Parts: sequence; structure tokens; C-alpha cells
Amino acid sequence: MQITVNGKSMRFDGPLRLSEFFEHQQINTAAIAVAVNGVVIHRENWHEHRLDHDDSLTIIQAVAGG
Amino acid sequence: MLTDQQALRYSSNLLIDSIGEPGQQRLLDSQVLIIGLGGLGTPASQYLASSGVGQLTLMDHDHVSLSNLQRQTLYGSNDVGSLKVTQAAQRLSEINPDVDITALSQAASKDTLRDHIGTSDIVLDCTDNRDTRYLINRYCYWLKKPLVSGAARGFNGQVLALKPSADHGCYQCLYPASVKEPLNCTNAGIAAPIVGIIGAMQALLAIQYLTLHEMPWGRLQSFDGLIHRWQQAELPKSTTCPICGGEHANNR
Repeated sequence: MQITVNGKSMRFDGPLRLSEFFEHQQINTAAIAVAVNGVVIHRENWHEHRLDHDDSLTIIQAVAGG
Repeated sequence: MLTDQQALRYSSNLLIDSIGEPGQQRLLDSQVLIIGLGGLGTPASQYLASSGVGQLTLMDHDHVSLSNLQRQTLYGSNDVGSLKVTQAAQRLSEINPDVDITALSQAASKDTLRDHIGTSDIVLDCTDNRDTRYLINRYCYWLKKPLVSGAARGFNGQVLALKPSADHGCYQCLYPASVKEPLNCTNAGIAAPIVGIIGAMQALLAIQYLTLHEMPWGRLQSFDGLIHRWQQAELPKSTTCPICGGEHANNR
């Protein structure tokens, strides 16, 4: 399965849920939001959201400065 | 009806077909609340004042510090120690004396927000911490006022226009309390032009709204200043959001 993460192509074996992707990539999720194919996936749905081949992920760092 | 002086001052707006005199009149009749007169609020307020927004309300309790001057372009060295809203109001009046400016040297609190959001046509969140952002989001949602939220850090910026009556999510859907408090400009640094870009975007979105243009409601726009790329993402409602999320929402 191939997905794009912030513009970079990555390959994975088999089905993968969003939460598993973060674990697999050891991504610190404490201060991020994430969009799949241009739609924000809320944190409470990360465990059930299944990634598909050709999905495009955008990992968004939370910022609050002004 | 515009005066001759106004027609000349705003001629570049008038030449845009989709603004014209009706749009300019709408700007002149509008009231915008800008909360936070720092890196985002200063460019946003300059563009709104110069464009002829009739009433600007500025809310900030902070004083100008030397470290602000790298990016907060309304202020100069002689302003260090002065109230931001007082200095900002003076500069904005110099840019456009037609604008009616109210300077509120108050922190954003439940009472101040309830009073001033209620009388505004649109609100710009230019603040620098999550608690205040939550409060502004909550009162804009409750009072059904459109909100343009901007934020920046390092080489990254984000802007999000929210319309409370629409189906999209709110600020707290995007960054719920379970998300760690993000770093801000003071503790993580900021490249000065990034707040200029995001603050200008906030002003643009306000002008778009006030002149009845189509709006990208509920679409998070993120800017990466190192590769000069914008990305967009739709923000649906979170069913667990305490502000807008259906049965979980606290309606006051």
C-alpha cells in the first residue's frame, strides 16, 4: 500500500489504521492534527480510520502564536 | 454615497468589479473586532484600516516590549513600555483618519468578549494562547458571529474562517483540550514575515466576507514558509466537541 505523507510517498504492508500509522512511524501526536485526502480526521476516530492505497495524509502541527 | 475624498482614497477597491461602490460602502459601514495586537493583529489592522473598514475595535492588555519590534510593525522603539492598543490606535488613525477606532486595554475575558463580539460583524482572533482562543471560539459560536482565527510559529502559519451556523467544525474541534498546548512565538520563535502573511490573510478574509464574496468557511489553510506551500483541509464537526458537537455541546 502506498500513501503520501506531507507530500512524500511511503509504502506499507497490508491494511493500516491511522493510529497504527502514527505508532509505526513513531510520530509524537501530542500537538498535531491530521487530514486524510483533505479532510481533518478527529482524534477520537484515529483508532478506526483505515488508510487506503493512494491516500494522502497531511500532518498539521498545532500552532497558537500570534 | 462616497465623498470625493473617499472615492479617491478607495479608488483601487472601487476598480475591483466585485467590490465597487456597494462593497466599499459595506466596508465603511462595518465593525470588526481584532483581539490581540501583536504579530498578527498589527498587519491585519493596518489592511482593514487602510481599506476603509468603518469601525475597528482593538482589544489587548499588553504593553510593547523590545522583543516585539522584530515583527509587530505598527510599533517603534519609542513605543516600548506603552500600551499596544493606544499606540496601534494612533498609527491606524494616521493611516486612515476616517476609521472610528476603539482601543480596549483589556484582556479577553467572558465579559469583554460577550460585550464586544456581540456588536461586531466579524471577529479576528490574533491572540497567542489556547485558553483565549477557546474563549473567543466559544463566544463567537454562541453569539453566531463569524470568526477568522490566525496562528503562527517558526516558519509555519495557519488561518481558519469559521461560520457558526454552518455544518463545519469549530476551533476546538481542530484542537481539542487533549492536544498539548502548542508553543507560541515567545517560547518557540517566529520568522517575522510569517505573521505578516497570516495577518494579511485574516484581513483578506474579513474583507471578502464584508464585501459578500464567497468564503472558504471551515477550511484550515496552512502555510509552510520554508517551501512556500499552502495546504488546505476541510474541518468537519467533532461529535465530541463541547462547543459545537451535537449532544455533547454545552450550549452555555
